Amino acid sequence: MRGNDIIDLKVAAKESNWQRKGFLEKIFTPQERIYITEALCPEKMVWTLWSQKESAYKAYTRQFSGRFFDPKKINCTLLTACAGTATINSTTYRTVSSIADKYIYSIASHEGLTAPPLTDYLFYSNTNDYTTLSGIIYQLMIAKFAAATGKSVNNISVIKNTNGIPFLEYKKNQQAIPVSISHHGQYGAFTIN
Amino acid sequence: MTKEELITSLKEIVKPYVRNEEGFANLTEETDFLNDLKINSANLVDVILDIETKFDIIIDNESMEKMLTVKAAMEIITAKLSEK
Repeated sequence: MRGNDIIDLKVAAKESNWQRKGFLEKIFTPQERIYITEALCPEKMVWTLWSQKESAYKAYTRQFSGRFFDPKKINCTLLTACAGTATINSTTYRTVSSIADKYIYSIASHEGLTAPPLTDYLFYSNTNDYTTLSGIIYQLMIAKFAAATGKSVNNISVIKNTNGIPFLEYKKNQQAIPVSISHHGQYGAFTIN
Repeated sequence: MTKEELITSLKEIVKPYVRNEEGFANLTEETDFLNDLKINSANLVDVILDIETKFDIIIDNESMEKMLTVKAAMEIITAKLSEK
């Protein structure tokens, strides 16, 4: 299973004050806080680790049902500046982040997974409206899935299970494919397993 | 503190982080912070820190784990206040 997470750094700076008292202690393990303290750019390290946690959480909740909010329970280890592992309750995911000037994009894949995703797509939009961007992501996802599989867009739809996890469904009653969607600010991204 | 007072305080706390105003206008005990109010998960940390300050309580990670709905938040706050 896979999960993804995009962070628009400009929006993150506006929305969150990671230097707020108690913030880092609530969500990062002691080792992760060392990564942050020792980083050349602590702010980027905060969001790199956060997006790795988020993407691993998404992969985990697609594999096992149930939701929880405890970012500290997701243990990140960095092997390079942008790649490592994230472990949740002894399930480990490989994490890779693209760290750019304006965004950070992370993908977490279960350690047993060898095949690449069918499609992984990241884009910048001229809108930051939540609902509009969601709609654009759905359309693009259906189009990219159709292109990758040769199926007709008319038979593909996005459905959600009771936990709110999205799937791509080709015709009714056929096996649905789990997807991971992320958007933040003017960035949208999805990965199709 | 009555249930209504607790909901009113919670509404004040979550307001700055809400990205779905319709969900906020229709807020009930069943409201989900992430799915219904579209609060981003990093801001859920702010909600929790704001709750700690407002009610002068400490929300441990075990309680935080369940903090996904208004109802869960109310239960946790009530439990922590009764421990004081």
